[in-house]
Amino acid sequence: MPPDTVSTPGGALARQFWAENPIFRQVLGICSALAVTNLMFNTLLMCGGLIWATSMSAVTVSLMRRLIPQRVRMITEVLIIAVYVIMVDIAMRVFFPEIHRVIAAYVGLIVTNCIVMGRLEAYASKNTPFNAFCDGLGSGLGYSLILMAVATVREVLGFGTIMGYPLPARELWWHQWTLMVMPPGAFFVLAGGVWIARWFAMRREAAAAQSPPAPQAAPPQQGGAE
Amino acid sequence: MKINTKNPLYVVVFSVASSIVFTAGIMLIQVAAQGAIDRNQKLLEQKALLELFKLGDPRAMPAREIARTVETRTRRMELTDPQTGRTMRVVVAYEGELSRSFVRVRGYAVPIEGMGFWDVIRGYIAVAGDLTRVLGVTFLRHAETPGLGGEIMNPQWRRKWEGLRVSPPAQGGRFVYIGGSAPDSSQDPRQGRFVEAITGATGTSTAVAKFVNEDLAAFQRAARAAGLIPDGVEKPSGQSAPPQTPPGPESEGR
Repeated sequence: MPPDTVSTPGGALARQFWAENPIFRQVLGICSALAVTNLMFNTLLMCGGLIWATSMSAVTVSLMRRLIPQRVRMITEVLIIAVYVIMVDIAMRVFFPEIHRVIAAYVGLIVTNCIVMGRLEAYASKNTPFNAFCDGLGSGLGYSLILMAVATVREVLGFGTIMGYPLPARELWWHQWTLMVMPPGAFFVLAGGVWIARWFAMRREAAAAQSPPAPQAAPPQQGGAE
Repeated sequence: MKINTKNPLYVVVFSVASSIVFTAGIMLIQVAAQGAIDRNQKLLEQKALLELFKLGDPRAMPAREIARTVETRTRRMELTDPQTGRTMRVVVAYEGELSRSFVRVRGYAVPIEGMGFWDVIRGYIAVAGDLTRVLGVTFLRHAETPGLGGEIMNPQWRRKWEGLRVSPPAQGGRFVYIGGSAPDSSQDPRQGRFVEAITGATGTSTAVAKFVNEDLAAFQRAARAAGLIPDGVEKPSGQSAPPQTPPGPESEGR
């Protein structure tokens, strides 16, 4: 990962949302991306939970960054993330009990989601609270953007609905693609998406390299597995 | 003032203090939300019963209607297994509203509970009023892997349970078989008692089969001890079987 030189809140947000998108560019947080994306509404709740957890724990870690001893910093970060994730879990039990039954395991797993931990370690523990908040928010939104896109494809092809509403006249033309409902469906959609996004990115970088003076193009990221 | 965050004493104090503060915060939220969580839990159970006994479509009914249907059409009954002394709270569902003088029993929801692959699984298996067939199965609580063991909640898989023969039990006192290969001959003891295991979740499937069989055996013993006489069977004169009694104080309307 390039050194964290972004110091404006907007820059931090934009970079995490797109240029360093956690899923397309860094290939982080894949396990939940595979599991919860067959229905858009469930995905939306999961994304809401992740946005809340990344942005709020980033603020908290940033506020406490001068107090947290170096030796126990990671365990403290996990504690802080866990607090915000449990809040999400309780809120879902109260407001969306049926969806909670389906995705509860993944909500709990946000605690160990590499996106959250990675942003706290790399950015929030060294930057001011508002910047850290924007960085976390950008990561969460970047994750959500991709997840919602994957979920849209899977729900349309797998269930023939959008946000639970049936597609117009689907009896006439739509046929269920069962694979899209099952976890492997996410592999295909996600991999196809990453392929397309990187193809665009590489074309842009190649175009940038041809026009001197060449701006420093970041080397392609090596995907780290979850 | 500059804090020396390397001081071992500071590290200990910080760790303890931050744990206490954050844990206390979460506990407060949990306590505040408990009432709503309990109400949701009760509604989930009512929806499960509604679906299990096919008393209505829980998705098309408002919460109040669901509660009213469950309260007027079902009641709880305590049965004791004479062999182990364990009591179980069975839910009895009726063909009509309980306020009428005589209503036939539609079925009994027997609580099932046991260790799954990861954590305790809890639910109901519904047996028809004549105690011979399964009406359906549902799970209220589980923590199995979504997509694998979590598929026990999949309606398509649960539908495979409907109509299984449970009386009399097959050899070895078994009621339900869950496995990979379906019975192929009519002599197979698993005939009519077989549910295909969930692919990739053999652990969960085996665990479910084990505790369902144990709980059904306990229910059969308890039902015999309590003298539950199946509907459609000639009853001894002058004696009415317990299921036909009008709603007692144990009615669901709590």
